Amino acid sequence: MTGEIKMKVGVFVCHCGKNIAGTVDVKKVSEEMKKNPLVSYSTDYMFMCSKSGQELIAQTIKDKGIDRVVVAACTPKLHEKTFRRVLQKNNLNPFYLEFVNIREQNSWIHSDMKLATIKAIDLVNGAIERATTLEAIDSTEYPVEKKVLVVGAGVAGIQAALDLVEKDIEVYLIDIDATIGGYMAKLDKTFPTNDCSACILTPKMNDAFTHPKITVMTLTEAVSAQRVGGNFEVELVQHPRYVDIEKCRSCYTCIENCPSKKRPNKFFDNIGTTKAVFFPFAQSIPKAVVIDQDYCLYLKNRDKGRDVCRRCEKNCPSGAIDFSQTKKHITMEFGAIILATGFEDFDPSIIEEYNYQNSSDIVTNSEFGFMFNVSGPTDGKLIRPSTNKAPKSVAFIQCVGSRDDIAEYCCNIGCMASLKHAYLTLKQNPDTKVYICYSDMRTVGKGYEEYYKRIRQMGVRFIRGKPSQIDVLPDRQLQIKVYDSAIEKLENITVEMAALQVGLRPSKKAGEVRKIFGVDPSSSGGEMNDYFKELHPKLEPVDTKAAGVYICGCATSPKTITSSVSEAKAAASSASSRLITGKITIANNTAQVNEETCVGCGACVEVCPFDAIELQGPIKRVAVVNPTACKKCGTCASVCPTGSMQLPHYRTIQILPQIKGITDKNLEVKES
Amino acid sequence: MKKEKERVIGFCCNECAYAAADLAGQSGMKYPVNVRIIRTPCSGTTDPLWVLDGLAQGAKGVFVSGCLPDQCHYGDGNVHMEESVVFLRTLLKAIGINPKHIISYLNSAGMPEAFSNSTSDFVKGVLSLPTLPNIKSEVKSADKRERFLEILTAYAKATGKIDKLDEKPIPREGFGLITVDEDKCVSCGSCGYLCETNAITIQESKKHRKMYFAHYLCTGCEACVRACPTEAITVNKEIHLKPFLDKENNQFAGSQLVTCSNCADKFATVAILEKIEDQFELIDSEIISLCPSCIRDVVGEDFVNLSRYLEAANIASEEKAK
Repeated sequence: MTGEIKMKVGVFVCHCGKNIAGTVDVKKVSEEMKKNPLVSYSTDYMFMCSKSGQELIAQTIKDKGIDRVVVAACTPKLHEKTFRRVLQKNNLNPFYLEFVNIREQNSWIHSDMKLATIKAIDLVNGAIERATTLEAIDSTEYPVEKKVLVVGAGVAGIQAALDLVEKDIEVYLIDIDATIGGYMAKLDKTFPTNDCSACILTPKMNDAFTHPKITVMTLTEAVSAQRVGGNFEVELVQHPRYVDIEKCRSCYTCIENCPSKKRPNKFFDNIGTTKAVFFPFAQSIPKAVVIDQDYCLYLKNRDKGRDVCRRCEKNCPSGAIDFSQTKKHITMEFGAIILATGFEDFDPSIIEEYNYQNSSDIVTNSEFGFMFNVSGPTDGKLIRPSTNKAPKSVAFIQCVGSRDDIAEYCCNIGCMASLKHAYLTLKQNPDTKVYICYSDMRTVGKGYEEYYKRIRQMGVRFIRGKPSQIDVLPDRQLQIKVYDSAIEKLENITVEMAALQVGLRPSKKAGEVRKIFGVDPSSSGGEMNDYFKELHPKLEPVDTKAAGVYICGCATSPKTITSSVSEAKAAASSASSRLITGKITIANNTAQVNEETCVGCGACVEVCPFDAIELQGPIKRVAVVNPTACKKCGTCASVCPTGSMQLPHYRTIQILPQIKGITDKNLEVKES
Repeated sequence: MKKEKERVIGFCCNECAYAAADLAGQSGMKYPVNVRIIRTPCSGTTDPLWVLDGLAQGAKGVFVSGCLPDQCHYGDGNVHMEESVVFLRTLLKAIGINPKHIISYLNSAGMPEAFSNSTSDFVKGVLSLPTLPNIKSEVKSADKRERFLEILTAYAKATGKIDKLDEKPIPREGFGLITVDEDKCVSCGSCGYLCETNAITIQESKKHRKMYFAHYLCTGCEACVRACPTEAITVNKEIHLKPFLDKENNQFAGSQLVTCSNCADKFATVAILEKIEDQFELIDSEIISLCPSCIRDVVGEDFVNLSRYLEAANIASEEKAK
């Protein structure tokens, strides 16, 4: 690599008007560099990044035959790409450029011209030494499957799938539930427009299910994944439904005949019960019943060798019930992964003073909202659970398990959800007394503040304070003690029902999913931190550290339907950018192993944050880098005891000359 | 040298530290002119050798700077970098060099003030320290391990610490010290044959095999552990400075060699035969003194397939008894 041909280095020092030349004697820098035998051309120029500056480099490459270019100017973050392009256009490998920052990290920091000039000389000299060691870097193409796995079929997952197929990309949409739709399918209305959730979601669910390029798999989860070239080899497990989706005509005969009635309605947070064979909810998709093996008499007894019941099977007119189904393992390759695993509610039982477990009239805001859903557990009627009659008064308690000692972060949707539920309550029973105990009303969003104002005008009583206690009185009324800081008064309100706006948490399986696909947690430690971490919180919000794995919806942080859909579209766009050409090009500057000297100690494997290194070989083990997984951080190289692992352009044989160059110039400096 | 002409090298990660340094410039903040920044992709890229080499080449101090905890753009490179710096500081202290010559600190790309403050504090502190011994001329090797050793040895010699090195081990991946259970070891030599770095070597005379271990060459790869048929070896991933810097190469095992009674080839050690003696109880004791190839010739059976041979030998001996 070095010493094959004698390198000819060209040095170009930029004035940047007075920006650099005002503090650094650029002429002296370029003159000083001429003394270095490695340098065959050195000059200074007013604006290197200008068209004429770029032409100067081009001309020098042609005339003087320089093959390494050192540019001393601003920060490489600004113009490294500019000059790489100049090299490329002039038939030099773009990686033959060494960029020196003498503006942001020199002239703008220091004021003593003499010392700043010495510093510039040091830096440029280091760059020259390093430039001669730079190798050419080319790139390799890897084929990728135009096929995406979307994990989680809530509104975000569905939207991502629909967007992807528009771009002719095949999608596998999986969900651990028996239906797609996620949380949005359980809602009645959505804020701030009060449009019916089912009306806007079910068409999308249907589109996804019927689209020839989308394969919907319910009761399915991903259990392992590994990278193969540009693809992911994912193992999926589909749990048995005991019903043939193709044959089920949703005629309800099985449900009418099923004797097992006590299954809690898990889809609606266990409000009410269903039979052992059931529809998750009225518009569930796939529109086929499902049998819960924990409640089915036949399945419960089958393991014990007894053959009982099977009334659903005997009475099904289309022969759809299939008790022979078992767990299915499917392994498939995907070119990209979108994770949209959503959220779940915080369980408020641990807050003893709110008595959530001691009164059926204290519910979570989700449970409260499900009651408005016409296909929900109460057929759309708001009832007070203890009396089965409409409540005469209701209080919403905000920020339970959010913005407190339990969790610092805001649930983002609580204020608007309670406003919506206040509206729905008053619409159903205009005489209901409604209280909202809030910490801050956060109604940031298009049309949100207007919505808030409208609800205020409907006569809802807003109390600015977090209740210290909810007591259950002997007559089952609820007494709420809350200090209203807006009017500086301790309030003692008595209501028939209380809805706790609980905080949002990542779904229980998010931690497993995260580890399977190599996505980082948002911060370290604790269950709440299984929110997926984005590559950059502002500029790469749906990308992750794991190339090819994208995230969207409430799996990254609590958010509204609007934001979830936007993110889903962004994730679909990012995923399609990766797959659209059917191949991915990766510059070959991923970590490289010298197989001759590698001793297979595995220190690199230990530290690689991307699981990109494997030890291979039966007896003599060597580290092998998976170039599609490597993100070029070089941590592996820093721990390699033999120096066999190296990151191109950051090889020890490239950095040591730079250090030498920086520290070499002592004598000449003293003379000046 | 005049204080302002001293150099301090900083390895800054491209994501946060380098960006913060840029932002410091754009915001008109100041830090001492001694600083020379080298850009790396991640702070984890920074090789401990580069840091040491910075000092050896004449820099007064070296700092490594990366992203805030939990905010590394490459997972946890900053954690590994901090571990490396702690390791280096422990090493420097042990060889009599003030560990304050190197430091690590973390800040985000949006914290130029924190970056320039930490940098200023470090440079100010480092410049007040006594001059480091000049060892530049003693560092020559291009080999990573060798150069590392050269720098440490040169410093230890210059400070006089070389004669009174601390016995306390310094834990670190990539270095290893083996412990051999003498009761189990049969001096078979398998570890030496598989050792890639010549940390374990075999010396054979006509009658003896001796096994040597050189700590300074061991990378803790555990090939010897996997090779050992009697599970006699354990490896601790750490540096013991005395044997490391002295390049000690100590005998850790040895046994007398056994020659084949048929062809006079050396084929085993006394210890091996003692170990497997029991398995040969039923067999003609002559077999044990044959080398594998002669056993094949004499017995006509594959020696490796010992069970088959034993079975055959069993039947033979029974018939013989009849």
